[in-house]
Order: sequence, then structure tokens, then C-alpha cells
Amino acid sequence: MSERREDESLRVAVIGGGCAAMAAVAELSRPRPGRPAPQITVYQLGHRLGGKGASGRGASGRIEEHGLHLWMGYYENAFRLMRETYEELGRDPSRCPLARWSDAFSPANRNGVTDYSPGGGWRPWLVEFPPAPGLPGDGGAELYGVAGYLSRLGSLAVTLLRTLPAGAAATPKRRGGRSELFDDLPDDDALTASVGAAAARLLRYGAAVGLGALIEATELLAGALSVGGRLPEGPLHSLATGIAQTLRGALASRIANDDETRRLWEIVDLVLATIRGALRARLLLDPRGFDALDDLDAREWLAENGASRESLDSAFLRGLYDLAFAYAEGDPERPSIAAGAALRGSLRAFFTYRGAFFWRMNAGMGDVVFAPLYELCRRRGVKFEFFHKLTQIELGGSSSAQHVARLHLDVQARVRGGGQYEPLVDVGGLPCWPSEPDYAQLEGGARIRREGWDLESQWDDRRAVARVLEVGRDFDVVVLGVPLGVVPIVGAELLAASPKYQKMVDSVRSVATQALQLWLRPTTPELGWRHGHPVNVSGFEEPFDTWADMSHLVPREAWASPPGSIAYFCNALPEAGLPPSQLSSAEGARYVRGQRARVRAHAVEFLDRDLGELWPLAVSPSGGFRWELLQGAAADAGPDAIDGQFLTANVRPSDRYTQSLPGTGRNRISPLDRTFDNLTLAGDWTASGLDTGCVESAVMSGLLAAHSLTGSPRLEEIVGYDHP
Amino acid sequence: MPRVRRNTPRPPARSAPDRRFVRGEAARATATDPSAARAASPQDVGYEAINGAYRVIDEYLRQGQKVAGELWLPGTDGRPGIADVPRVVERFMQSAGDLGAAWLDLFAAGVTPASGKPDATGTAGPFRVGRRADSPTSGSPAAAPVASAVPLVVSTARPVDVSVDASGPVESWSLGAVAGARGSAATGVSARLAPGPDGRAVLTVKVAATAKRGTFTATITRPDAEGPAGVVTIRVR
Amino acid sequence: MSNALVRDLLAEYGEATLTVIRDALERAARRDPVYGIAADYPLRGGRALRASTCIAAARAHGATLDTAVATAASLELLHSAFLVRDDVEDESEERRGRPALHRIHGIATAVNAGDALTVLGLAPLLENRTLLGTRVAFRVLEEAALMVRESVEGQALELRWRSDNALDLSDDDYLRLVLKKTAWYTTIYPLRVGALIGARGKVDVARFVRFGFFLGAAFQIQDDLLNLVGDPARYGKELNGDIAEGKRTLMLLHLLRVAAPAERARLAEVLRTPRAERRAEAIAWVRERMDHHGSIDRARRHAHALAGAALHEAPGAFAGARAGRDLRFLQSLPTWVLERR
Repeated sequence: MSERREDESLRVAVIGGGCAAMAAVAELSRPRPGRPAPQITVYQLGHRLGGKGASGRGASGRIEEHGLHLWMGYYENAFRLMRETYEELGRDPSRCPLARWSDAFSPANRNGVTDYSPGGGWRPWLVEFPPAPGLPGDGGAELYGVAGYLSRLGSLAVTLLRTLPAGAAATPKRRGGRSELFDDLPDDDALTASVGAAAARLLRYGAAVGLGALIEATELLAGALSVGGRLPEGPLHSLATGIAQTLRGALASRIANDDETRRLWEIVDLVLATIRGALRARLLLDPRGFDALDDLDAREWLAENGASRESLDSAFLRGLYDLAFAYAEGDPERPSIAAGAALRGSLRAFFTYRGAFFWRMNAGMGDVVFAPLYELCRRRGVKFEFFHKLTQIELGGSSSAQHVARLHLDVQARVRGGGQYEPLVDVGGLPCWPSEPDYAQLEGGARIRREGWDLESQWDDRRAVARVLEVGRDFDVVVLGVPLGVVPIVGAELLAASPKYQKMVDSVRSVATQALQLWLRPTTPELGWRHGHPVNVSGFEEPFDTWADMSHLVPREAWASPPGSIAYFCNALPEAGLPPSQLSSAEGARYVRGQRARVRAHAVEFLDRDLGELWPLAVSPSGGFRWELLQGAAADAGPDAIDGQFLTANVRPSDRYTQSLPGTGRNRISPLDRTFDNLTLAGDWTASGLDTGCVESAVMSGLLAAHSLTGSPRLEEIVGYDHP
Repeated sequence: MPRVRRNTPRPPARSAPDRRFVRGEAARATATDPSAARAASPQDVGYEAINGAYRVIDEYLRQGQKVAGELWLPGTDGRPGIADVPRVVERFMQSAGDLGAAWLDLFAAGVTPASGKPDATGTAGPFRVGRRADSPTSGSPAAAPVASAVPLVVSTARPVDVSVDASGPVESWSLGAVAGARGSAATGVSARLAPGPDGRAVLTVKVAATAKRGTFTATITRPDAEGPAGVVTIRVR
Repeated sequence: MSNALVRDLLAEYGEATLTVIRDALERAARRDPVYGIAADYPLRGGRALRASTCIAAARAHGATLDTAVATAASLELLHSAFLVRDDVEDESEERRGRPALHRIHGIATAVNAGDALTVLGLAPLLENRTLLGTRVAFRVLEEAALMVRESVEGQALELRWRSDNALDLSDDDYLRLVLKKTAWYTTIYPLRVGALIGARGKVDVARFVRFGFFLGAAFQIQDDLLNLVGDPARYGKELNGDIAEGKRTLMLLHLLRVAAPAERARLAEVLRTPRAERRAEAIAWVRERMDHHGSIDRARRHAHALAGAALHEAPGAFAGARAGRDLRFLQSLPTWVLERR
């Protein structure tokens, strides 16, 4: 029995306090005239909001993160949320170092991938993406359809080719200023005929085609793609194929000798393969958009469409995979990401970014994102219950119309005196989340600390008391903002009642990650990095393939004698067989400890063996890392100095990174789904439209959850939701 | 369990993103920009026309449920918007060889491989299988399959790609001779348009083992249209 | 050829419907002379497209001619009522080759006659109770109420455009108008009630909406084209009449978008002048600009594309229909609407 009473305010129970859940809460709590405000309560396990984005503060106020969080310039919804939050919060700049959103986020234009040059050794390949007009979250973002993206890919190929210095490859004789390639084309400018003819001639000339002619052919391709509407797909595909094959031959000698040419060619090759693949799959007319490609891995799809072996192994592509932790079960030998989701994310990233390609945060993500959100929502009347862990969802209703009847929670710890738990601490004027709970506020806090309760682990079942929330009495609707790995643990009844839910949980995967943070005495250049900074670099060796220079965070920490640099490293963490989602408290604790020890071993090995490639001055002449360079290490320090740094194995269900493996996207469930009529999902693992594991996907998911419950925001307002 | 009065919001009208087009681009196509409008090619118009029509009717259907409740009239049967794309749109996509030709019959192309291999049609991931003939020895990945809106029979001893790009009713087509690049002769490659067993015109392409590698075309003309109405392209690999 | 089938069925079902209408008009004229005046439009003839669609849809879903013809007659009468109203509101001169009703009798009488036609149009729907049973008859009534509502709102929208002298309309706006004002009562409603009658109410009428919309839209665009390029003797309204009345057709909207600034200003001026003051040479200039900018060709392609979309939707719409003449008739309509003169 369900009825909607317009005059009653809706009571919303939000489980989880990560990106998606908080985006939903921010949207639901937005004051709206003429509608009674929903009564919202957020139930969060442990002591801090943020989920995978949570961060803490340790000794000397040092920031301790889950891993590396980079925001991208196309995160329109996420940035809009943050900008509106900071705007409404109105922090006092004289007291708070990150008062405005522009203090909290800065453009990060220098990015790179490390590239193994055939000439020997790892070389960093740095790119500066040109700043794009506007700022993310401005509103009025311009997105494109498949045709628009293909057209831009074509133009990108032309631009890249034009940067190559004109070479000495054979050039067919030119007549009337145009290469022989385009002679005798029909004057009526029938697109099909000219494109087909150009393709045919390219094939005939083969490697004898000069770069100039190739550029003209690519211009024709780009021009044809931008005509819009229905394209003559067959001939265009042939043309793209002809260019790709001929380009290889025309540039062969230069590719072998010059890294710059080789990298450019690799990208152009990938771009041409993408265009061919899109034409061949008839994406222009497919109502599924890029979802139509989701059954294949991106590299496989590119290979099927003619990408060469070298470009498939290029640093560029590897960097993209690293950013998305796109490795099945974390195994670096098994790169895997659904081609459609990858293509959508990459095209958005490259062609719709505003301001900068990447944006960095100027403190921990918890400080920059979740503390302001927490303060704002509290001010708006949202209630927060920390140390509340969902254990079971109980359904009710008839078999055809089921709903959430009860929520079973563990109250992990009660607040002394029964009041609100105050979760934030002040570090240099900035409200922050500490790395550990404030035990003094908790009943039995000393015991909890002594016994080492892992309050942020779904596995740890120690608690103060159980609690049951009943529909109708305590809540009307539930926003399930828990991580994917938790759903099978708490949602057994959901899975039993709905094959769709079971399918999702069986299909959508998450991967464990490992992260290492180093504070070092020397500055980054003093470590031997000669390519300028700040910077972040991907595609490096295992076990830590991504490095980000985070030295800009030093002023935000509270060092008595500050370090010269801060470095974050992260990577997927291979797990030989995934742990079962259900582990007992003891097993879970053991597993976490064991994995952490592995990461520690990885870290030591990495510093000793690999880091010298990036930081030549950080290794001693006999090889091996100079451990004394670490902040707080003694002059004769050895590998044990690593214990003074921060590392983490993100293996708990709530810490794992959501992946978009081939064939899984269709099994994601949308927050708009109301199989259970008072339950809506929220998380980057849902069908958010973007369908990847990132902040933007999570925020979109939260907005969708809010829409599902209240109709706002309108779906058209969620940027990029309706998008190929 | 005793009856509990619950306050449950209505489910949303949509449950999936609309991936067919992007508002930005579609909106710009109809914006008051003379140069954009003038540059629109004939095919453009058809494409935008259909997109626009689906957009309008889907929006209307979505609002139908809301509207029904607002007036005293009983209104429609209260159907919310169609959330999942009907099967027929997949067929639309398959045979979208020419959006401007409204009167072409629409059906999947039938292909007869010379080797007698079973005609596997359908989708394999993003790829449409079975629209061109493979020689049994060909192990290379499928080249660009282009759906045709006319029954196509390909009889070939070499790996080929065949595509048909044309407008107008099949009944009105005249097919010219197959020629190679720059008008050269096309030994071993032929294309014919003739009525099939059920009276409908069928395009038959034959490629002998002696055919050379290359691209061959045959022009399609119509009595009521000036100039070529289309082209059949045969690429022998 | 399928067009011959369409012509045959239009004639057959049109005749059957006309018989019923004639009968009803004669009986009514004995009550009051207004019904005699009202009889003018229905008896002037016409294609009987709507009635035929309704009957064909009914028969394709299992009904006999007799169970459906009353509803078809109702629709044609309501159609005539809409025409009377449109002609008054558009200040038209001609209808079906003869003067518009209000030109013969004056506006007041014409409006009253239009109301009379509405009354006559409702009567068969009530009689449906004995023909079809209360349940189905009531469903048909609901559909009719919806259809009339859409028609009224569609006309209201168009009138607002005219009174606001709206100049920045998109193709989507045009389609929305056509959906409400034309497609609903010309194609969507006849299919829906026809199917309801044939299947005794056991049919999901939502399936006809897309096919009906695309078909109706193609029909209307073709109608607008014929107004500019058709054969006046067969077409039945004065050529370029739409330009004269400032009707927002696809061609006009396209012209507004692509015209050079000076042209656009002049066009806006032409549209702003009241119809009575609009000069023939201004109308001719607009027509010529449409040719120049390709607006007419473009609209023609638009209509073709919509007819194609209707063909696509046909299998889904008629999945529950029986094979036979009537189904073939319905499936041939998208092609036919483009090829009629």
C-alpha cells in the first residue's frame, strides 16, 4: 500500500556518505519553495564521510588519502556541485585557506606518461594540454553526438600530422597545387565518389605517398566526417584504412629513429582505428550510442579495427588504462575495459574539458570535498549518524510489489552523553577529517582503540548495540549509497527477490588498489626529476605505475620542519582470486593486514629498484634507494624507514575501485530503477550514464537518485546524461 | 505485519539515458544560424527530420501520464514514456542505407556465400555478421559491412566488400556496367539487377577467382532523377 | 500497385461513411435549418482519409464495416466542424474548390453551423453503446474527448503564434503543433478507435501513436507543399494561401532561419501586416525566397523522411492486425500520402 502525500515531507534514509550519496543529499536538501523539505538522515560507518574519497589527517597534520584523486575538466556535474557548495557555504577567506572553490581546485596542465623508448630506457613524455575556455561547472557545456566526436577526432589527426616536420618521403608529382591523389575527381563534388577515389588511390600508391598527400587525405576524412548527417560509411572507412596503412609505411624510418614522431604516429593510428571502428559499427545511427561497443575490451576493439601492435602497446594507451585501473583482478597482464565506456570517457575528456584537462585538489579529498559538503548539509538540517553500519536490508510487501520494510544497523559506538558526534578537526584553519575517530567522544572509546576495531570495515562486526529502522516510522525511502562490494553483504534479500540485482552483483567488478605516499626532504628537482613540476605521470612500471607530485600540499599540512616534496603513487593491486565478499571479522582483519604487508613489500622493492628511473638522484651510485631522504628518517636509515610513510592496501569492500569490464555495463542498474518501490541506488557502480568508476559518474548517480525520488533535478540538467 | 501507511514517491518517467543524439548538436542544427542551415546536405535533412520527430513524440508520450492526471478528462491510457528502444529501431538502424527514400522496403539482406558456409546473420558484439560473403580461406577480420536496403546476392571466390549507396525505389533503378578505377575494365566482376523469385528486384554480384584486386563501381540511375542516384561498390581484396 | 488499393478503399469506405452522414444530416435538417447549412462541408466531398483509416483499422482488428462506420461518420463530421472553425480563424477564402462557409453565410452563422456539426459528430459515439457495448463505447468516447482536446490546444497554439507574430520557431515546434492539431485527429485517433472497435477494447492503443504521428506529420507537410506547388484545380484551396495567411509551415520556418538579415526583416514585416492588407506581390516575394533558399525541397525531403519513419513503425503498430486488404491499405498510407496530388 503506497500513497503519496504531497503535503508531507519525505523521510529519506541515506546509507553511506561517499560521492554519490552526498551528491544526492546535497540535491535533496536544496531548499525549494513550495515543497516541504525532505527529512534526511545519513547513516555512515566509521567516523568520516567520503567512502573511497575519504581522507584523513595523521601526525603533523599530514594528509592521508585512499589513493590519487584527479579531477578531470569534463566533470561538469561534480564541479557544479562543488562550486555551489562553496558558494553557499561562504567561508571566511581571512580564516580559512581554502575559502573559495578556486582555492580548493587548481588546473593541472602538465601531465605525462612514461614511455619505453626503443632507444633504451624509460622516458617521460610530457604533454601540456592547452587550456580550454570556460570553467567546469559553468553551465552551458557543449557536448557532441557521435558525428561531432568523429569529426573532432578527424581534426585531431590532421593537427597532429601537421606538427610533424615535412620529411623526405617520396612525393608524387603535384599538378595545380594539389597532389595527384585528388586529380580527376568528379566536379560535382559527390562526397562518396571523392572519398572512394581517394581511398583507392592511397592503396595504389602505398608507401610512396608523401606526408603532404597523407595530410590532404586526412583533411578530406575530417571534412567528410564534419558534414554531419548520414555519411557514406563504406567509403569513409576505406579512406581511414588507407590512411592508416599508408601512414605507417610513409613514416617507417622516422618512427624507428625519433621518439616524437613515433608517439604522434601512435596516437594518430589509434585515432584512425577509432574512426574506422565507429564507422564500421554504424555508431552514428545506433540508438545505444557507445554502449553498442561494450562487449569488447578497448584494445581488442582497436586491434580489430586495424590499430597496430605498437600503438596498442603505446604509453598513451597504457596511461589511459592505468588511470582507470583497467586491469582484470588487478593483473597488469590483463588490461580490460569496455570499449564503449572507455571511448565515451576519453572523448569527453579530450574534447569537452573546460579550463584544464586535469584539476588537482589543494588538500585531501576529504578536506576539499566532503568537509564542505558535510558543513553545508548540516546547516540545511540534514542529520548525520556516524558509526552506523548497515547490516541487512529487510524487504516487505507482496511478491509483485516489494519494498524496503526494515533496515538493520549496527551502532558501532555510541556518542558519550548522547549528543552529536563532531567529526572535524582544524588543521591550519581548514576543517578536516582526522585519520582516526575521536575516541574521547565515544563510549568505550579507549577500548575500541586498544582492541583495534576497524570501524571502516564492513567485515568488522564489533558494535555497541543493534538498531532497526522501520518504514513508515523512521523512513519512507532509502538511498543505498554503499559501495558495490557491500551490496551482496547487506542485500541478500534484494538479490533473492530480483534476478536483475543478482546479475548486477555477479557481473560488475571492482578492483583493489594500492597507494603509497612519501614525504621527502629534497624537492622534486633535487631528486633528479628534470622535467619541471608540478606533474603527474602514468604508465610506469609495476607495482606503482602512476606518480603524482603533490608538493603543493605541504603548506596545508602542519609540519614543524616541512618536507621538500610529497609524492603519491598508486596502482591496481593484483589479487590472486578475489576474496569472498563475506569474511568474518577475524578473517577480514587478517586479510587486510596481509595485503597491507604485501603493499609494504611492493613499496620497498619499488623504491629500491624502479624509482631511480624517475628520480636519478634519489638512488645511491651502487643502486638502491637513499632511505635517508625520507622525512623523519635517520641518516643511516634502511628500508624500515618506509614505516614512517603512509601506505594502504584498498581491499575492503568499501575501498575498491569500480571497473567497467567488457560485457558488464548492461547489467548495471540505474538509480532511476524502482524495482523496490522505495529504494534507489547511488554509486559510481550504477548505470549513471557515464558508467565508469570516477567522481563524475558518482555525482551523476547521486543526482539521478534525487531525481528518482523527487523529480529534480530534471534529467536534462544532468550534464552528459543524454549523450551517446 | 500490520498495515503501515507509507509515503512513496511516484517512480520517474524515464529509466535510461537517451543516447540517440545530443541536445547541443541537434539544437544547433535547427538554431537560427543561416550558414549552418545552408550547409545542410540532403541526407542531413532526413536524418535531422527523423531525430526531431522521435524527440517530439517521445517527449509527448513521456508527458502523457502527467497530463492525464491534470485534467478532468480521462486522457490517454496513462502510458509513461517508452524507456527501452523497440526492436523495430534496430531494424531501422540496420537498413538505414538511405533515410530519404521512404518507399524502400526494409528487410535484412540475404547473402549467399559461394562456399556454402551457413549464412550466419545477427550481431556479434557491435558487429553485424553475415552481410558479406567470405571466401572460406579468408581469416582476416571482417571488413566494413554496410547494410543494403535491397536484396543482395553475392557469389564470390575472393574476399570482397560490397556496399550499395542509393536513393529511390528499387523498382526504378537501372544499373550500369561495372568498371574499375579510371574506367578500366572489370574482368571477373559483374553486377546485375533482375527480378527475383517473388517479383522483387534482386541485386546479384558475381566475382570470379580471376578478378583482380581493387575497387569496382557500378552506377545506379533513375529515369526521374538527373545524374547518378547511387553507386554499387565492390572491393576485391 | 498499392496506391490503387488505397484509392479503392478510400472510395468504398468514403461512400459508406457518406451514406451514413447524409442520412444523419437529412434527419437533423428537419429539426432546424442550421443543420442544412452545416451539411455544406461534409457533402462537398473530400478524400475520406480519416473515415477510411478508422474503418480499415477496425476491420484489420476484426470488426465488420457496420460496427465501425458510425464512428467513422462521427469523425468526418467532427473533421468538418474543425474545418469550419479553421476557415473562420484563418480568414480563408476557399474550401474544396468553393467559397468557405463564413464567406457564404457570415461568421456568426458559420460558427453556429460548426457547433451543429460537433453535435452531430457526437451523436454516433453515443449510439455506439448499442453497437459495441457500453465498455468499448465509453473507451471510444474517452478517445474522442482526448482527440478534440488536442485539436483545440493545437489550434490555440497556432493562433498564439500568429498573434505573437512568432518568428523563432524550430522544426520541433512545428512538429509539436502538427502532432496536436492535425495528426491526432487525422491519423492517430482513427487508428486507435478503429483498433478498439475491432478488438473489442482488448488492444494497447499506445502502439499506434508513433506510426500515426509520423504519418500525420508527413501528410500535413505534403499538404503544406501542395499549397505552394500543387495543381489548384485538384487541390481545392488557393495557391500560396498559406503564405497569405502567414501559416507557420516548415518552409516558412526554414526561410526565417536562413534569410539574410534584410530579407528577414522584410519577411517579419510581411507577417506582421494583417491578412487583408497583405499584397499579392509580397506573397509572391516570399514564395520566391522559399525557392531561392531551397526551403521547399527541404520540406519535401523532410516529408519523405517522416514517411520512412512511419514505415519503420508500421510493423510494431500493426503487430496485432490481421493480414488482408485493410492491413495493406494502412501499410500503404505512408507512401500514398506523398504521392497524392
